[in-house]
Amino acid sequence: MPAKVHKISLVGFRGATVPVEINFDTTKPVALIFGENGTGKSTIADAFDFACNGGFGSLEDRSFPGQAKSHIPALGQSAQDLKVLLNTSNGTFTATLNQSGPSVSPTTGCPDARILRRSNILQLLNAQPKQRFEALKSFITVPGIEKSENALRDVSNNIEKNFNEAVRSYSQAITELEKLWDAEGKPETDALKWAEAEATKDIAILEKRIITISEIEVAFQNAETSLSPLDSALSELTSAQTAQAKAQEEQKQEEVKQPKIDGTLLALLRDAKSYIAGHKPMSQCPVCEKEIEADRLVGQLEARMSEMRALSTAINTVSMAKRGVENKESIVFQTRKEFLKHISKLASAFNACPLSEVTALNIHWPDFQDLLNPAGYTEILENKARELWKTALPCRQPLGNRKRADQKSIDQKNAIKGHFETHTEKLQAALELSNLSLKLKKALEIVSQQRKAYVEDVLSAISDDIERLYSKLHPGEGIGNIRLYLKPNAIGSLELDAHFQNVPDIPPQAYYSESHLDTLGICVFLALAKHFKTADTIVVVDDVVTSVDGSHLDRFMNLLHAEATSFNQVIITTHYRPWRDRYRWAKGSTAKTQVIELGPWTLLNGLQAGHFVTAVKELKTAVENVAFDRQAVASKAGIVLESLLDFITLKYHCWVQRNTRNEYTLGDLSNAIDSKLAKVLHCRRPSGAVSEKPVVSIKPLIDAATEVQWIRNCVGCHLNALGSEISDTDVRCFARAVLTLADALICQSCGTLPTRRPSGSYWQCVCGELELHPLVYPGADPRMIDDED
Amino acid sequence: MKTPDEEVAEKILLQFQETKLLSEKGIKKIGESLSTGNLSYEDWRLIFETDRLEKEDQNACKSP
Repeated sequence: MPAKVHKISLVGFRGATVPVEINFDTTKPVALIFGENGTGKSTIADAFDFACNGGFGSLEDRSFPGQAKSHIPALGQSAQDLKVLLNTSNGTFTATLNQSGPSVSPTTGCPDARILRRSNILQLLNAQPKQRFEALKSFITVPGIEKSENALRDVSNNIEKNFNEAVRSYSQAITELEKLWDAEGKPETDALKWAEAEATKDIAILEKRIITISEIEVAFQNAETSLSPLDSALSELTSAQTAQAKAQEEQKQEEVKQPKIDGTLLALLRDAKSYIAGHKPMSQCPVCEKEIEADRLVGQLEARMSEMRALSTAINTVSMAKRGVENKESIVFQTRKEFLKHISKLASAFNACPLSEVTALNIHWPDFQDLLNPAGYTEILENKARELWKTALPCRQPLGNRKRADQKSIDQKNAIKGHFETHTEKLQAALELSNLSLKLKKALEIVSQQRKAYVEDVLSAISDDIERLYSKLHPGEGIGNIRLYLKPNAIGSLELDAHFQNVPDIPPQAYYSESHLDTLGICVFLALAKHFKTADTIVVVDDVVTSVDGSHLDRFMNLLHAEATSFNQVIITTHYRPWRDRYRWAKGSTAKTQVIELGPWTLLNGLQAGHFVTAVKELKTAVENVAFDRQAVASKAGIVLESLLDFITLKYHCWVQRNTRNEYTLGDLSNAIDSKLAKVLHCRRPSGAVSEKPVVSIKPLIDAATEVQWIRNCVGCHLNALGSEISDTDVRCFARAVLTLADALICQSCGTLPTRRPSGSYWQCVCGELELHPLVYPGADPRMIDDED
Repeated sequence: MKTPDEEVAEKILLQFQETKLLSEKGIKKIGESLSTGNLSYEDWRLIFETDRLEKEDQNACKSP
């Protein structure tokens, strides 16, 4: 069931300081809430926003960042007491305010209120294209598709990047191969064939040869490293031996100088002194067993040794030289052993090496057999090793050259192989990626096109609808041709163009008047609301009309009535009295519009939602009232009569005597309906009830009412003696005559005067059940008449 | 009633089919995920690569 609101109840909500209920007549598509400034119109619109959308209404547009919630409760009332109740065709919904904001129960089924405020119009029209797009994005975009499209775009871009990378790689590989091929003198028919052949060649022989040469190089290096210490050790040994021989010679010379003594005696004396000193007290010689004085004997021994000091020094020098020789001999042995070990390895490597650089040396290996498996580390073997070293040394450089050449060859073959494999692999990858990239690009193009087409279709449909609505409001004014569109090649930029005096593509906000912009904003809103409505959508238009002339107001009312059929319910608030008066004076259909009138707001009484009655109904009530107010009835009847005569004289362009105040008496107006018009002026009810006369002549009714029109002045307007002489019956007669005329001229079904022109011969009420004939003053040109007003 | 996303997705899949951009199997894999935005980078890539490989296999089988 379409959502319709029967009643909204406000408790402690904004201006509702006292609980208030507003009832809606859901048989009428439009509800007009009229109230002067400060009567609570926006409170009602905000209550719809609060209950239906969980919003804070007009407070959100004002400078209360994050504080709107604290200003929602009525003055002096707490948030806990705040409540908005909606009685709808889908059930009753209760909106309250809690910590997190508005909360509605039950959570589903509540009407979806689209609310238009004047601030929204300005935002919609004056916003930058990007902000405008953001505001409408949720309506005109397809977020699911966009998300998938973005992922597809990423894949497409990445695959294209991979494809370009593969192309770059195989192009680079072929360039490198061509360089190598060129350097090789361009064998084979092309670089790729050559590279393929080269890549398949076996490089094991080269690798094995490099290993062999590397082993020999290590052996050379180790032998060389060990030879130097050996040479040094031998040199040092020779020096030590020379020093020993010299010391021995010096000792002999000392012994010749003192023939009675020699080194042996000196050693004996030294030992004796040491023995006696170590065995004190001693009184007897341990050799001859004679009596001795130990201290004295030690002194004698020291004296004798002192006499032999030069010999002693020479003996010590010989002893030290001997130890030096022994030490050097040991070092020679070790270094020789090391050298022979490495020469042995070199010999083994050479012996097994088939390389020409080695075999060309023609080494006679039987001579060096001892070196292949050395049994000891003798000087003889060392000499053989030195001989082999000298023999082998000349091939060291050529072997190094051979190794470098082989390594270069391997490196080149590896490079060829690498480039060739890269070329093959990347070419294949490029072919596959090219195919994939083309498909992904095509897919992206389709997705993107379809998405844009959808958005453009939506915008086009909305633009068409805006244009349709706007041209109804401003026919022939040289404005319109409204177009909403996405700016090409820009992200999220929603442009708004229009015509002004037939100049196309101008921004309306720069050229249109404020009232034209207001109506444009309303048309944009209505078109959007219509396009994106749901089964639960109701429309609330909060006081958006400021000041428009009569003809535009009538067109606007007609437009709203026509568009209201597209929505479940349209609720309008206005402070514009001419709008309200259209209904009061039968210029607007009360059959289609419920008018609700707000009384003055006070803190004590809150909002006052009062009843609205038309002027005719008010007069009828007053006439029938038991407590008859003759002054009020005479006055009201006079005003109703004035409005009816005003309507007829305007419709037929009747002649009246002009005055500066533009005010005309009832007599002026009734006399303006001359006999020529009077003869043909009549109303017709084509499908009226049997009891009703299908055709009613108007002039007699006017005459009946105006005959006693002076009652209005005497009773309803002024204090005079004549007024006192007029009976209540006369006043009632005057009022009834006026009501008879009103009943004849106002449709009983829709409550409107025949203000529309459906054909070329008469006027018609809104519902079409009442016709007013003729269309123009007899003889006048129908083309000169104003359109419906 | 279809959502706008579903409407656009339907048109896209139809065009994929008409242009033979993807096999029926591939189109089926895209299915509803297209409208809900649940097709990730990996999904798109896998669907198109699998489709390409399957077509290559079919062509290989057909060729003598």
